[in-house]
Amino acid sequence: MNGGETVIVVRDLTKVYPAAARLFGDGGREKLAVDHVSFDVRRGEIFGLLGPNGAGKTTTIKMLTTLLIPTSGSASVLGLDAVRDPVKLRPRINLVSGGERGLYFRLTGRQNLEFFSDMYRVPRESKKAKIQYLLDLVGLTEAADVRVEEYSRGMKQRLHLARGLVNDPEVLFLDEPTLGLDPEISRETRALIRRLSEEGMTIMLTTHYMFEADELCDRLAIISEGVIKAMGSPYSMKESVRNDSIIEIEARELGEAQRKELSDLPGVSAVSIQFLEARQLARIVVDDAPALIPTVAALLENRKVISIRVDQPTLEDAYIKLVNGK
Amino acid sequence: MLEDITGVKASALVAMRSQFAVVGPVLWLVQILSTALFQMWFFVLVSDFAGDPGATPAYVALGNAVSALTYSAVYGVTMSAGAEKHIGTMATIMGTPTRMFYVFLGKGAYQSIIGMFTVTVSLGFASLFFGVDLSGANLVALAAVLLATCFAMVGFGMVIGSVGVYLRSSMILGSIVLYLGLLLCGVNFPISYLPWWLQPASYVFPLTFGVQAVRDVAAGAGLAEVAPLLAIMLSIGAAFFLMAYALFNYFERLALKRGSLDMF
Amino acid sequence: MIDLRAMKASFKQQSIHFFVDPQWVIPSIIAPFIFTTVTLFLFRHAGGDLLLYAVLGGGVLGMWGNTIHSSSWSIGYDRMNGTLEAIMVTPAPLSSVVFGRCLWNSFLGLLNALAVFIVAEFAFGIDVTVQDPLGFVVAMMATLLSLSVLGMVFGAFYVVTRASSAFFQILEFPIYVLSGAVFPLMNLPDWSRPFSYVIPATWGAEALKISTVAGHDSMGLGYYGALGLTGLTTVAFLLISLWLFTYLEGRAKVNGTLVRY
Repeated sequence: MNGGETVIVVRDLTKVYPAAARLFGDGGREKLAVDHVSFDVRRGEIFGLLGPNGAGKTTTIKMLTTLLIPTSGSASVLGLDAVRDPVKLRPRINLVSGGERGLYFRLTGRQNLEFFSDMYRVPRESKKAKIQYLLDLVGLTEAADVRVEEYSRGMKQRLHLARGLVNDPEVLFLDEPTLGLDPEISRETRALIRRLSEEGMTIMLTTHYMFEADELCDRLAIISEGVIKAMGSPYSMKESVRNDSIIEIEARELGEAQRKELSDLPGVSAVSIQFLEARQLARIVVDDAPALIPTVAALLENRKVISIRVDQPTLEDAYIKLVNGK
Repeated sequence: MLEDITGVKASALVAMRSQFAVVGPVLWLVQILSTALFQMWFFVLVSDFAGDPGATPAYVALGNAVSALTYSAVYGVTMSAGAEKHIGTMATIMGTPTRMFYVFLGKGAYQSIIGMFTVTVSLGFASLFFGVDLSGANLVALAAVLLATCFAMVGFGMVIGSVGVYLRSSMILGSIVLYLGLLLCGVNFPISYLPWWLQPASYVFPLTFGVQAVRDVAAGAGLAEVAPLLAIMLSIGAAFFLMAYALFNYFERLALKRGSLDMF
Repeated sequence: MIDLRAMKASFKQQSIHFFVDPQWVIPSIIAPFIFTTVTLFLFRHAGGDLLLYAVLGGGVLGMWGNTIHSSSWSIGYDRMNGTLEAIMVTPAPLSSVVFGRCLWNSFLGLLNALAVFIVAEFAFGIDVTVQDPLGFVVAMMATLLSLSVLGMVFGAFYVVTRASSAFFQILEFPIYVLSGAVFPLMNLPDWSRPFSYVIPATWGAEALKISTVAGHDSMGLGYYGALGLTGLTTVAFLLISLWLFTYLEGRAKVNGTLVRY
């Protein structure tokens, strides 16, 4: 982190999706997606927005990339207001969304990049060389003239990234960049993101993977139900659970009802349950593990408990505590 | 392989044509009714301008009214296969113990109801605005003829629809068949106008017999007089259903073997 | 407001999509092709200019068919493909992207015209000779442009919802009727005239007929009159579509309906 100028300024950003969102028929109920969110991102930083599905991450990133108009509050990128100055802002930023969609499958990788270069008015003289450079960068040179429909998931994701770079954006937005990728490809993708950051690009990404945020981000904000619950470096987040301990329970019949019961116990600040094949793994964030174990054990008497042990808190637990905590 | 995305554009194009994945039955009904009525009007105007005594406006109007059945009975049934693929439910259905043939039989029944409604409205429209005279028609014979036509046409639609279990091109086939009837089935002009080598093709389409039967009934024929045509339609209809049954099983097996169920 | 480079790139992109799997143009142009062929059968005994009239009208219907099916779907495709956001986030105006694609689609509609000419020439023995070749080409280009612009108007609605397809598809046949492409407008009832007059295809078809059929001028407009009206309606629809894009894009950005399929 170089502590440079602030390039993204978000103040009290709020988005309420209106009820009737369709031309024909009823669009359903109003929905508060982002609720008075504020943060700053400095030049050269990797800033992460971490939260579960439906937390408002994507909505926030869309408002910053001129794709969605906020209900209230303000968002400015590179000193340009995302609502009032989209025409000036768009050439200087780009957005890459994860997942398989978002490419023209009938076109080759190179044709995709050519099309988007034209959309960004990349100077004609340098267009060809630029595209070749990007193909090399993401390792798609050999597959450049193959239609995207023949690409593997990982190749598509790399092409997505290349597309996001055709206009040399000063700020790159990545919405769930490793969504649905296998671990190997996710790792490659993260390496590429880090490399872009080292070259000076400002990157804002969303993810619901804790370790990804931990590995990549200089700073992150944890968002849940449209509200920022915590913000800071991954290190400082971990600090927040330093004085807690964890009771980890392996059992065969744990469900949402137990999670609720456990959460309601005094001294418990958060509970997460991971559903494995035929068993569940509950992690309970508590202030004093030894004192609470009898109560917990009694509560779960008939739930086919396999083991109970005490563990050190991890970043994951910090996250759970911040998102699910009381 | 990621072949399911291969034809996004193609599926898109057809989803728009077929509508099943996107619009509900009401809009679908509005769509086929308006299409049928404007199509009738178009050919009536052409015929009026052409002044051909063998294909008067009333002749054309009646033909088009009967051919309105095609939209649901043939096209609707054919397209639903493609729509299943499009929304990805084909594999789900195949996973159930119900055979594909019966699933489509259900769709055929649904489309028949819409078809009978469309053809009734179209005939009413034709007699109200375009001089089709049904006053001398035996209503029982008319109903029998229309039901038989519908039956045979749904069978025809199922035969084409069965291809859709395996190939997405069935949608192209469906749209060709939809309009070919206007050219080949004596809808807009007598079959004798066609070049001799094309005329046998007319008799593959059940619509040809249906249009003829309705013309006969409108001219005053009773059940007895149209009985031969009815018999033809019922038998080719039955033949189409048998063929569809065999084809569905065949293509279902082929699709499972080649893994093209949800391949688009 | 119109970005020529984005238009060109979109035109090219659409053409690549076509060449990858050309059979899919069939569902879009089959109806006008069969309509025209049926018309030729009905006009057969009348012969001469009437047949030529039908051939020209049929060509326009073909362009129209492809416009309504492919152009109105232009954004729908991106919506389904998940590329709509990727386009929206670029500085290129969405309307230019759609315009480029619509041009290609109308151009492709010429395939139908070609098919009609071939049927006319070989199956019906109609001698297709053009009175004023230059005028014909100009009228053809004007018609093509006018239909592209109309495609843009329809395409704009997809920014808001995918359900637009059903709505516009309903318009296919009414416009075949109202454009009076293969029969004189005078044969239509009075109440429908105003609808006919606002459709650019009406005037494009008229200009084409004047340039081809000797002595044809059913509305007394003359070639330049018909061409002028084609241009006028085209400009009007262009302005309407640009406004619609601005308005509907704004709406989609408030409602968040850009990505939903």
